[in-house]
Amino acid sequence: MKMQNIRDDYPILHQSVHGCPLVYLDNAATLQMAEPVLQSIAAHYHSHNANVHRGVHALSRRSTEAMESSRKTVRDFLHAAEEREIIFTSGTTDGINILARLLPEVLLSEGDEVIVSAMEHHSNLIPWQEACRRSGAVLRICPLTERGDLDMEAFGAMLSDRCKIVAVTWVSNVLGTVNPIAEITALSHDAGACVVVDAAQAMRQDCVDVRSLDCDFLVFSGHKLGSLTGIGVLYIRADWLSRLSCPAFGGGMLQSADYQSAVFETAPFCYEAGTPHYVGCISLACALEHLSAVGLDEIEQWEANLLSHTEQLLREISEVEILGVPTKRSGCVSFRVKGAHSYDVGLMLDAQGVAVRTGYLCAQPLLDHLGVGQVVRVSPAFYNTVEELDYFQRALKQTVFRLKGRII
Amino acid sequence: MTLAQRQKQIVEDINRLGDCLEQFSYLTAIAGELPCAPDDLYQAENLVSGCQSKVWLRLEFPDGCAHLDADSDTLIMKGVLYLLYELLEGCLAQEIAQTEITLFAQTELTAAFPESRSRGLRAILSQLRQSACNYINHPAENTVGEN
Repeated sequence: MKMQNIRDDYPILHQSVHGCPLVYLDNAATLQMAEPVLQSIAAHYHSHNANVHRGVHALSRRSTEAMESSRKTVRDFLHAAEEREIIFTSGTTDGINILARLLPEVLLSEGDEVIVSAMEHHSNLIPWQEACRRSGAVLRICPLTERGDLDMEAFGAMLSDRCKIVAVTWVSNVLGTVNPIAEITALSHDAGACVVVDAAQAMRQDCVDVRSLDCDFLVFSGHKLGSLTGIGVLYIRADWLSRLSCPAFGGGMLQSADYQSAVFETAPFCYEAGTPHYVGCISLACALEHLSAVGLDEIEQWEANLLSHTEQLLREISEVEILGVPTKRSGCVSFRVKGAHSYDVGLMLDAQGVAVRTGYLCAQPLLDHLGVGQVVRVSPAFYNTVEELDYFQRALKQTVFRLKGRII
Repeated sequence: MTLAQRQKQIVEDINRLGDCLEQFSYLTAIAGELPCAPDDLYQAENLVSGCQSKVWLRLEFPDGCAHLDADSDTLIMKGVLYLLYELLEGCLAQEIAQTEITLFAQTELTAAFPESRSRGLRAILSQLRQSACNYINHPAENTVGEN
């Protein structure tokens, strides 16, 4: 893999922070945008921009074609059966919220159950808390094993005909645990439950094939793949499209309207009221194409190497405690420095040019459950180098040294 | 020494340290100098909420002169609070109300306040000023600024 060439596509990586070369290891929060994606956005505004779908003029047609071609690119990337299964949203959180509003209408009654895992991001937990509160359903939390894997035995035992929805993350944004989605889906379907997959952290770790996963719904955000922020995808398997109502109403989702009633468009348009974030859609398609050009298998392999090297480097520092030893880890590894607050560690690393994420990582219930409080997360991406990780270890050692003996 | 003179001295001391890492290290070192706070500081009304670190803060004027009780769960923020303690302890309310606290802007210490904390920094500074103003307007009340 020609790493130096790949880094040339990311001008943002070539800068100094606090006088040190930037080492950006916060890719689980957002992936940087490649130059070709930036150029496609500029080119759209430079030459083709107009509002989509309703215009008869040339620019509007071009803009519409670019957006709908993006939908096709996403469909291909997900290996979805049909383009109407691809709904553009503002991101993962938006996608889950739409489902947590629409699914209870057709699925949940008092006493029914929704299962989520103990490792969910707030965005795949709180919407279901609210859905259960409104519908009288019970939210059940599938526990983890000591290693940080989903406890599949417990999961199997929790499933019953009362369970209507299983909402689970594919990859944990804290532990990096890769969950066996195909197995979860098969078990859930046997019990009569539908499956919502939060794929926010999963899109670079494996070939995403919604048909082989056989999930009912899958959500992800574009910015974690190098697109603009504010764009995401909600995959709805075709057989659900006729069962769900519209999440929002207004322009762009109507066939006709009078003062008292309206006839709605078919999917996907009936799910996308208002002017869609078409430039976001275009940037997402371009980001996916760029990742494909780099090579999805190569990215997966290189990121796995970098992550295992990161883990090794962390294990060499005796004050560092790594969270979990999952069977398969992807994307990130989280840790704490014994006795030190992650905020102090994060700021000292930043002072040396290293960007990591600190805090509860939007998964406070998990970290409270693990009894570790706030943590530091490192998430290398394919454009990072072994040398950068080695520098990160030196910066962390420096930080530990400076904090030693001054622990609160 | 006036508050402004004290502030000038603190800024010079910090800037002599050089880069951000040295300044943060200095903060973690002086964190231990912050006097232990009384138990009654740890109440919701004294908590300046931020995203990642907790800060408790109370400025009183027991004998007309400022007394700061403060604490944090992070070392760097404790160091910041010690700087404020050094700056404000013993000052008159009038002086605090009239002097702008610029030591963060004049050093690299704003980096200690990521976005959520920048709101926290503004909250800390405005709470201190408010405490002083409240005391000027209602000197009979010993404890002020808890709203």
